[in-house]
Amino acid sequence: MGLREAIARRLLWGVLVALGVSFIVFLIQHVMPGDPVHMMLVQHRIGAHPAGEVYFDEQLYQEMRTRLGLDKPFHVQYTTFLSKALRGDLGYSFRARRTVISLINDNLPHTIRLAVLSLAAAALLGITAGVIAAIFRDRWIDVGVMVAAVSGVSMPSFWLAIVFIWVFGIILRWFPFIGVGSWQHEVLPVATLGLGGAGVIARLTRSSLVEVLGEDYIRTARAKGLPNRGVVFKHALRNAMLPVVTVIGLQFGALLGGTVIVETVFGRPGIGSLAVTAIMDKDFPVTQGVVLLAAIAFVMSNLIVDIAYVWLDPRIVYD
Amino acid sequence: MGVLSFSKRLLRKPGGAAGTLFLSLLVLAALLAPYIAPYDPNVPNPASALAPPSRAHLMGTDRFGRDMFSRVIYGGRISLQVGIIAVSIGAFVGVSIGLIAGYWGGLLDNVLMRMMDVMLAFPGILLALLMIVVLGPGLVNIMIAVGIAAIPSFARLARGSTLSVKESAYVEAARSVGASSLPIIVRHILPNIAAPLIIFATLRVGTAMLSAASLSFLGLGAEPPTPEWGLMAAIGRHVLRRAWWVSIFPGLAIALTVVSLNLLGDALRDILDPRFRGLEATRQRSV
Repeated sequence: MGLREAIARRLLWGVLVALGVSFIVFLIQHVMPGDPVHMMLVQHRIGAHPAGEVYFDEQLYQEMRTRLGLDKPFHVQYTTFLSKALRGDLGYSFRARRTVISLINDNLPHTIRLAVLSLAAAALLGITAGVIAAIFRDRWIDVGVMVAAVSGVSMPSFWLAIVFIWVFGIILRWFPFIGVGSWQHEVLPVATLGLGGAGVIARLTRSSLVEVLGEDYIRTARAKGLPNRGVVFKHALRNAMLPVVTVIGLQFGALLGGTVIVETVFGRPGIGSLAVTAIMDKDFPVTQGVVLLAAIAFVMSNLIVDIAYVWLDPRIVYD
Repeated sequence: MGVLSFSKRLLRKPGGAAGTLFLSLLVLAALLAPYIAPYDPNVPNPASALAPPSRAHLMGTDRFGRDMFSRVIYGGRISLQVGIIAVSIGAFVGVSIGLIAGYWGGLLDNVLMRMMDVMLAFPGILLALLMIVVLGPGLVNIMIAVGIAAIPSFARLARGSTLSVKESAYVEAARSVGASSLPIIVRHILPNIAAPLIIFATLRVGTAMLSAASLSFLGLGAEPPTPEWGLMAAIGRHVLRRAWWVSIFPGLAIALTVVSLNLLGDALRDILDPRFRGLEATRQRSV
């Protein structure tokens, strides 16, 4: 089977996953306690008695349900949601009184910028550290790098964020730490997210490179008198990158999750903070939209990893 | 490998020794909390609010004058409990699914594993968040949510190991003398796939503690005045300018605990290598 067919199959599988995810989200939101219309009416004090006691205008309540389509049977609601979603219409937010798409459009660029910068920082730092550790294997520099890497993996990102805010924001006053707006605003969030990812990537780069450096073809390359740098960077690194690419792809998913925390701590707009607010507000359409988006992003990143595989190692044949 | 020689090898590795030492201290402190903690973790003392670290208060005090050192010690109880229970839930359900899928194979395997794939498509924290929506906030629900989020990775690992073990001669032998499926799974397959699962579970406790603390940090888990590490860090964040210690120490406690668990996990894997190299790929950083 050719690469194109493999990709087509992957894409199809991705569509199935996205469908499954959308169905599960839809299901979850329909069995959970709490009536969203009830909540909307209470929160916006529509139909509330001036004295503060909440009572409901039954007619208003029914009107709202009809307008939001919540009076229809479950399967009708789901198929309506799907057919509209395919046309890019994810419905109206219950709370913000805007379309879900417009909310996502406003927030997505911030998250993409954060995720891409963090992933790039993690890959750059992680691969560099991993290569250094592998070259100086079992020396103190290797031990140091690996201790740092384990610490990076283990740090709760919310804590790392607080430490960065404290040290670089409050004590040293080097970077702003609330909101977005300039490149300086990006430094601390990117460092927070990137450091953890770098730890995972550094560990894997090291172990993979150490393994490759023990292979016969590396000995051959050395035996024919190639300088060490050429051996490591030209022959070994490329072959060692295969598992690293997988993990970078996996990190993307973890990173998406990480944005939830980082965006909250740094008071940034973005898909993560949008998701948290929507979940807390029981804003069905926004939650659905965001989770669907996350699932699609995850499927796409896996697809990119698969393609990167072939580019790195032409021996791989898909079957 | 005997238990004695195993522990010797474990403790000879610096990471294994450091991890074991810190975790033993943590477990000890959690068990003996009422005897070690110098103050009651929940009794406010407005007179000494936001006092910096000193002899009287090793880690300072919070907004209500409660001793942070005592709260951090009691927090260890909660975090350990949450991590272990959550992983137990995930391991029990996940390993059962993996065993069933791997042993019987076919359509059942396909359906179960595709379900696991869909679950894996969610970033873990988002899956846990969704569970919290259904179950409502709270510490117990967080254990369940984090446990559910751990199911697919346990299922995958158990299924993979089951596939290789079920073809082995002793399983074949048991089958040929007429043993039925359940005893074969429980008596012959499970013990032989247990080692990688135990290592994975150890690593997962750290991840679970992190996820649970993160959810508490977002305000979805423990409620004040519970001395939960994530919650303490979240509350302390608001007084960071005036009193860094309120937020920094609980976070440091989580970080050290998870570092220790990871060091221990690495050491375990090195000792039992090379069979469990594949574990690295199943390992994912949580938030």
